[in-house]
Amino acid sequence: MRNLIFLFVKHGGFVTFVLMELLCMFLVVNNNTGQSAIFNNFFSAASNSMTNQGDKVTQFINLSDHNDSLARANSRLLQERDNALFIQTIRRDSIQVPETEQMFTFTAAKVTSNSTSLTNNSLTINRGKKHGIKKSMGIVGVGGNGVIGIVKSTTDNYSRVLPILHSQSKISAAIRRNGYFGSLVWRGRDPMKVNLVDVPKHANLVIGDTIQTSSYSSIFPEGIMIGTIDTFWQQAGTNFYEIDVNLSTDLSNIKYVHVVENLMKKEIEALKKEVSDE
Amino acid sequence: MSNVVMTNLLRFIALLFIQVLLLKNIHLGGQSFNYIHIVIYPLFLILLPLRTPHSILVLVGFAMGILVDAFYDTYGVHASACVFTGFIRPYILAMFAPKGGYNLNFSPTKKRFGINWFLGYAATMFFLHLFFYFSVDAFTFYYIAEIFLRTVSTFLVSMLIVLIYMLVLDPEE
Repeated sequence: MRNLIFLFVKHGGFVTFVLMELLCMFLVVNNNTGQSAIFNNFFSAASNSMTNQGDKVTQFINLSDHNDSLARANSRLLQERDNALFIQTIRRDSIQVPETEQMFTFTAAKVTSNSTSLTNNSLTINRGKKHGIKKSMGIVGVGGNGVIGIVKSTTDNYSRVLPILHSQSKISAAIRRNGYFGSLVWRGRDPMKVNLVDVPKHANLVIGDTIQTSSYSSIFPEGIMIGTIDTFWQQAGTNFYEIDVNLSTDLSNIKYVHVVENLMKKEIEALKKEVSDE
Repeated sequence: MSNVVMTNLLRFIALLFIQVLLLKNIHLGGQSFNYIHIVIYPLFLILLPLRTPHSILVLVGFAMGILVDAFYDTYGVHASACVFTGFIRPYILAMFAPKGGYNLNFSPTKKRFGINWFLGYAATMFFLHLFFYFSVDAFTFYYIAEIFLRTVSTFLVSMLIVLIYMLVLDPEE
């Protein structure tokens, strides 16, 4: 306290000066039209530019929220595409309105861990049982581009995915131009390349042909792009081609994916089971 | 002691009323050249006794300024200039300090320190006061040329009045 008083005695003039000037400026700005106009003009310019800067920061902080909402919006849009619908209409008449039923639904998810450098890679997403994720659902890339893998196991909030970059992965795929199909496997070398095997040798192949999901798959909707043909050759002593496919999606930097659910899968599987039981 | 206080109180009232009742209404430049004002109330701050504490100078300056403002209807403009003038007074006095230093019982008047000393001191104070006043009045340095023009023209006329005041009344305190 004594120091404070001493300080005031020594610098009291300056302190009083600053306080009184602040009071004066307050009076000036509040009581004089000219000065208050100048003051307001200056401060609105300054505060506007500060608000702008602040908005930029907030926008940056909110980016992940925006991403989430965009991913959700994407999921909704993917469900409305034709390949996610089951056409119920039976063509009996020449005029009819096609009647469709939802076949595939999409759930947006974020990748929480990922690897691409091993022979048996893995991937984890932040959606699980609570969000309706079940074993054997498909995973596709953002906006429905590129096949990522298949759900292998789920916990309450997370799911483990068997990505196509895994030696056990096997996904049915077809050539878009002529419909010949085979199985997509990975030999464990380049994370940007997978192999399409079991394509019959009478198929007409051209380098650059698009490989997509086949309509025989009960996991993925038909027509999701997987990649393009890089090279192909015939394995000695077999009747099948082996094709090198350039993946269209780089799995080493994916952040968001969509989980695909086939609502009619049970029906298909029950039917398959019935056939094999006979 | 009480004599000095009484003198300064009377001077405060007198200068205030001369300023707001008389000088406020004189427009030397007329309508076309509105750059000449006559300002003498800072003389009160200039003539306060040498031993006046720094913060009292500032506070008394504020009181004088805000009362002038009340009549000019420009709340804060004269007050801020007076607060500034009160604040810089010790530094200006230090600039003009005579060889042996000041006798703190005196007031800084023409009679005590001579006309040359007083004119230098008062002119510096007046010029800074007026410059500060016209700056706050414009509230932007965009019109710096006009601020200077007003300061110089007002300064010349005001100093003439101050000189007459000091020659005629020649106060000791």
